[in-house]
Amino acid sequence: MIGHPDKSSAPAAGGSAASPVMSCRTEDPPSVVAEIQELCLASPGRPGPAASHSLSCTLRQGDYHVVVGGGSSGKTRLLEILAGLARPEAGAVRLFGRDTSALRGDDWMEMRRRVGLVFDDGCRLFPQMTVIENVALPVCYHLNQSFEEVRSFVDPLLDWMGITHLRDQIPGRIGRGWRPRIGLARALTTKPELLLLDNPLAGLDPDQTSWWLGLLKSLVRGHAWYGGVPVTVLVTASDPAPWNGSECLFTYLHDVNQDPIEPPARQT
Amino acid sequence: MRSRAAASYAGIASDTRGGSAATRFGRVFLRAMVVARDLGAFFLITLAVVLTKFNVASKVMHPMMRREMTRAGFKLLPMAAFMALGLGFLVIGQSVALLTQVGAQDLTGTIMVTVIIRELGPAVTALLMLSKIGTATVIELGTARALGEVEALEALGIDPVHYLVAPRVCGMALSTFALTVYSILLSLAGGYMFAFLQNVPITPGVYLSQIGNALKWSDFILLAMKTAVFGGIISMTCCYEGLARPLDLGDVSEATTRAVMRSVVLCVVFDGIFLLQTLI
Repeated sequence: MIGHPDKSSAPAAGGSAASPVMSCRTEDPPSVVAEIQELCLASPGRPGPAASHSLSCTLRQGDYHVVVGGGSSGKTRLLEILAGLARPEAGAVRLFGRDTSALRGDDWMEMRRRVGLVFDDGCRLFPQMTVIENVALPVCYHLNQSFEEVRSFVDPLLDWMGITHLRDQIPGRIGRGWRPRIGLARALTTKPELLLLDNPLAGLDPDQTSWWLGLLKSLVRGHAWYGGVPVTVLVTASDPAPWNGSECLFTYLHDVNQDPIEPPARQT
Repeated sequence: MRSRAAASYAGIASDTRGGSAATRFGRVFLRAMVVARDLGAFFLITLAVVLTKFNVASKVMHPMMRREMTRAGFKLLPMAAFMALGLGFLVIGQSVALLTQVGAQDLTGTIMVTVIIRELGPAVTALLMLSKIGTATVIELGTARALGEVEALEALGIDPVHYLVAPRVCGMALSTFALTVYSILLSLAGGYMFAFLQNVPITPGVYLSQIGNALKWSDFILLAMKTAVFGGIISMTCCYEGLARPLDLGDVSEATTRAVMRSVVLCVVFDGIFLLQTLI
């Protein structure tokens, strides 16, 4: 595994040097959201190729990172560590200036409200709840409001995600292509500053893929949902091709059991 | 973090192969101690969460707690009533024949107090709670754990113990108490009905006065403590087995049987402790 941020993103791909992300970088240094130092991505009890390497990188506000790697390269593990769901075997992670190894109990719970995670494969939606209940749960819990009280807050989000027609259905009856959108809506209710997405484009058709790429770009540039403030987005992918042309930074996690994944052709 | 010594004990305890009888007994004992320690830790964590976060997200949590109480209490009432009436019939049916032979019908109330209020009422209700609600709890939590819903809650900044365990523990503990009281009252009523049908010469007033004379204040305290402890044991053990360790879907059935066995053993042990307490 090699942790090298590959700045194959070209402003010409979808934006220009005058885009909000780029102008933010040149005029006012954006704040550091996450610092990853010598991070080991091996899972305990599952010695894999990722164990022998480490990852170092820095995520700043408005950064758009795509982490590309094979099946056991440690992509999901990286997201779990950043979301506080797993502890690294070695290395250090600082989120919003705080060393995560020093966070305990409720400190982590507070930190997780600033980090949104969209899981892979079904997005781990709560099967006994309807879509609107799934999406509204975090805001109901954290703001101590009933589902009826947050309806006016959640409805625009469902509309933005294009899932209003699914609001009263349970996740088990919804097509797989829609579930990541529900997972994203659920993650966005608390307006996290760092958004982590685990392979969100897996198995999606071209229309859905295009929708996702457009949405993530709008988040990074500063969407009205966030009051125009750019969000830091970290996405994992097994195939970098769909991201080619996005204003993103690529990081490749090489799995020694597989052939290295080639970076996409640079846009001109 | 678990200490090296504790991890070593756990490793020894989980290994049940070979050795003399004493060695095997030692391993079983050590394993029981490890389970007791883990259950104790889970109990303390849950207690701390219930006490410190009772009003946190109350508009989400309190309706959940009410739903649990409805499920574990109100919806279980018909089954509890059926079992309680049957219990009252059985106890009176067996005892009246014997008491009539020795001319000791005056002891009917005493027998009902001793058998129903002190022992069988709480025990049968606890078994009913375990078989219907406890097993469902392990399956629900175990499945949620296996499907990664617990991690999803954590990722949303929601404490899984607060969201998943606290409502179930509170609901089951309170429902166990309420159901036990209902069961005892219905058993006493069922007992009198049987006596009435068998033409036993006893009026309702005499029956109630016999029960009243046999009851002591300590019986009420003991009943409250017993039901609270039984409800706590069942809810804690079931939540612990479902939630406290990583599970695959295939492990859920084993976790359910383990929760039932451990709940029964713990309830019997604590019942014995209560019995010793009353004898002393």
